[in-house]
Amino acid sequence: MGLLAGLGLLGLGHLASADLWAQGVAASATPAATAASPAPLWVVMSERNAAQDEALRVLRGGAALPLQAGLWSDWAQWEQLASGSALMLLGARALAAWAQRQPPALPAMPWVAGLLSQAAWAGLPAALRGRTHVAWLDQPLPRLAELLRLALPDRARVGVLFGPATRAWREPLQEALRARHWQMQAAQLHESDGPAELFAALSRVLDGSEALLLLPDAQVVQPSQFQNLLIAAYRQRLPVVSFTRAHVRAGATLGLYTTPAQAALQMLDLLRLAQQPGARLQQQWASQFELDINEPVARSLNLQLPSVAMLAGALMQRNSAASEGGAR
Amino acid sequence: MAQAEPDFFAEKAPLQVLSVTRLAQPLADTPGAVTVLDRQTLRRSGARNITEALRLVPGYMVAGLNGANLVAAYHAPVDEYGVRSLILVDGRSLYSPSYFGGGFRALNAVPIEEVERIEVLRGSNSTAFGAHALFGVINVVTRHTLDTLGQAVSFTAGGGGVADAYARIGWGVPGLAQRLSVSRSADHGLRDLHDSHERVQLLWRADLKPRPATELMFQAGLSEWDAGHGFASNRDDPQRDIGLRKSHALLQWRYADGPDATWKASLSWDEERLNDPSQTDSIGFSFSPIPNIAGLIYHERRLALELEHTRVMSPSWRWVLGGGVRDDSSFAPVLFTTTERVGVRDWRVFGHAEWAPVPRWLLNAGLFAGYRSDTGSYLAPRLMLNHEVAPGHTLRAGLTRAERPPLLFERSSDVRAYINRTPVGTVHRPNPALRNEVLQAQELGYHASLAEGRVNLDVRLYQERMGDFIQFFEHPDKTRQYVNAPGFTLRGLEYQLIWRPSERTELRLNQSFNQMRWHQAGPTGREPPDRLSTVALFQRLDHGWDVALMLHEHNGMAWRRPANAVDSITRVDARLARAFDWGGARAEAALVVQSLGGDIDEFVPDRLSNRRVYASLRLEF
Repeated sequence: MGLLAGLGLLGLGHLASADLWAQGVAASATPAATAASPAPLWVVMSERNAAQDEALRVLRGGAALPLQAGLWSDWAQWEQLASGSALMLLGARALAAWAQRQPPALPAMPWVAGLLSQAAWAGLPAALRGRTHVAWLDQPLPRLAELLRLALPDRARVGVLFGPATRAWREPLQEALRARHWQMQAAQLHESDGPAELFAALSRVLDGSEALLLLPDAQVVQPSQFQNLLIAAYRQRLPVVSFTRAHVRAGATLGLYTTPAQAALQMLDLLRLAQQPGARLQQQWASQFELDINEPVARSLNLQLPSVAMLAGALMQRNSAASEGGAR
Repeated sequence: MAQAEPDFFAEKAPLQVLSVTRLAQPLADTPGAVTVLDRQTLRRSGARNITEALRLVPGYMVAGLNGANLVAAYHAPVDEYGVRSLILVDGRSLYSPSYFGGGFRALNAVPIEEVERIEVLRGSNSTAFGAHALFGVINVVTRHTLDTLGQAVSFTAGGGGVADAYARIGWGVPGLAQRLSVSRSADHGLRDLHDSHERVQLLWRADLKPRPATELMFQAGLSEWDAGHGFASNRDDPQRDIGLRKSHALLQWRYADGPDATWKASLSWDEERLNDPSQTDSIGFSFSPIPNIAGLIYHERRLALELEHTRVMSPSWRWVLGGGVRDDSSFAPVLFTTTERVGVRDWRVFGHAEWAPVPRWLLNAGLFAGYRSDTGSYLAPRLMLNHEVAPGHTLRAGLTRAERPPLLFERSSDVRAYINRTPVGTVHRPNPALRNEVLQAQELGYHASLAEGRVNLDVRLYQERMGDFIQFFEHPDKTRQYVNAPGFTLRGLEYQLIWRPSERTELRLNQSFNQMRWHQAGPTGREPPDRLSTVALFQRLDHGWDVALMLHEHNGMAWRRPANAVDSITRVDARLARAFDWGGARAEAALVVQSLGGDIDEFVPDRLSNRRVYASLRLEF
């Protein structure tokens, strides 16, 4: 427990002690206990934060198996994971660690990753990606295009900045927008681009646009420049559609995002699919989502937006109508 | 290792960037009728300058003494030089106290390429901005330097001598961004008049952000304008060329003192010099009491300092308080018969509160109080109540009282004629007893935003009663003077409908109906048209094509005297444009036809707005 206390985990009273790595390790040293319980579901977390804790709570509540969870950095005996029935990896760091530390002979059990972005996913080794079931946090592009169409029916031109992580989305997003009679004004940022290039690109895409769509790309949404980005759009009286609730609180007009709980539920669904005999590799965009509107900002932009419930309902309908499993 | 990942679940929310103090007032909440012309609309209108674009504002008419001096004025021709509509450019007010007063020449000098949007408040706004806003405010917001990074050039050329060019370069990062532009604009003015004109100017702007909560903006500019003036048939106003040199600087500071409070200060300096060679001639005739002033009409200097504090007390209650001082002075021996600088200082305080006592009811109350060193105090209070009767439908009712003290020129102009330095007569007399003109306005308004924002309607029903109207008067001995006339009562109904039936189509319909009753007996000469309409269609087509058609019409009116009344006119302007990619640069080519139906007497007989065709090419890279 000393190690855990050192990591500040003692404060997490809601975590059953059986969930902690220490217990997992202890369990392996107690043959009676091991024999008595089925092979556990291991959950490797990237870090301790509210999002991962929320996901863990949902996983624990929804998993049919006993669940053992801990931080990737706390535990050296990755080999033990092979003794589990399945593995859940929360966040990019846990998955990256798994990529580096997994035993040469990969265990037969399935593993599901979640709570990570497509951008982080794309940076992982191809061999790992080829075997990992994953639910990304990113929204399917047709859903984003549909949101623009539903929320801003009298507009038809959106500015979008793409960075290295979202480079590949340019064509499919353009296609999804075109199908809804929207035009995209886009610019591509590169790894070496600084704020000067970011704002030069922004001024190009906003000229003639009627909204700004922010994609989850660290090159575009740089924390130090977020304020300037939002103000630039507001100066030109353009609504910003973004991918987190925090951005909406800060002044983006609309946010479309998936909560950690929703992501965890999707991971459980993936696990169920993965555990079926002859299961195919499941790699999905976020299936469930929430919407947020910053009413004062919308009002100040003279926007009459449909209610959150109406927008979400219409998007949900599209969601169930179209299979969004893999197609972008 | 994985790439840097954007934070989907930030536990610590980013700073609330758009707090209430930063937000613009929604149109339904404004204490008056507002027309907004954004960058897209300005571009699609084909207008070469802001004055032309203001044709799209209900009740605004574009006219002037000649084609080089076109003025967009509300209640024209009652306000011939637009002195009763305040022009603000990024908070700097444009006017010329030492001559006829309007800011129209300065307004035409703002390159339309640099305008982010124009917000026109129709109806008195003196409560917020002081005396010059008696009939309303034309608020021009220019583009931020961060929004104009990179290079842009545009060229326009065509009939009527149209030859414009604009080039700009923008550079920097959010901490410090700058823009430098140089432009030239020229045309031959109205048909058959000696009013060809050319303007050349250099503008610089820098935006600094030393800390997240502090912003600084600097602007500076130089411009030279040369124009033909006068009439071949008029000995008192012969044909000649006049020249205006202007320079200005503006410093603005803004500090967000937490999410609920902002401070703003601005300091501006303007200098303006008008030259007109007609005041002296070879036989020794002159309007100047002193020799060797080389055609100088005036050399004016204006300095303005203002501080403003906005605070949000609660979601339903916010206020603005501010104060400032302006110092206007002019060296103009010809206009004031003195070799001393003539000046006036104007101290002001103002406050405005926005209070929603219960949901859907909003009270806007404001007061502006000023003291001028020449004419004493003036006061402008306003009370406006907005009520959202149903979602998307807002009614407003309000009362405003506004005062406009006379300009330096109106009160103190003292123009005399000399032959070989010997006074031989008076042309223009001062009137130290000139009182402030007073406007009392009652207004009922309705704002609707329907069909998911596709239909926007604003209606303004008003009665404006002007007393002590400052009016130009010619005495029987032919000397001229500004006097207080009894004034007039103007009743009117205006509406503005903007309808976007599809995302590609925008239709605008503006109409202004008014009824003018002069309080004094006898013909006053100036009769505004009792109907002024605009219908505009903006249509986007495939492959980057864009079409705009604008029809403006008004019925009979008299600009200055009944003898030069004109009948109903209709003017059609059209624009066809195509946006395309040109070797990586964003390009747009456009063809504009103004006055498609032929030459027309728009406001005075024999001052013909000629049919004009011009083409433009714009490149941004």
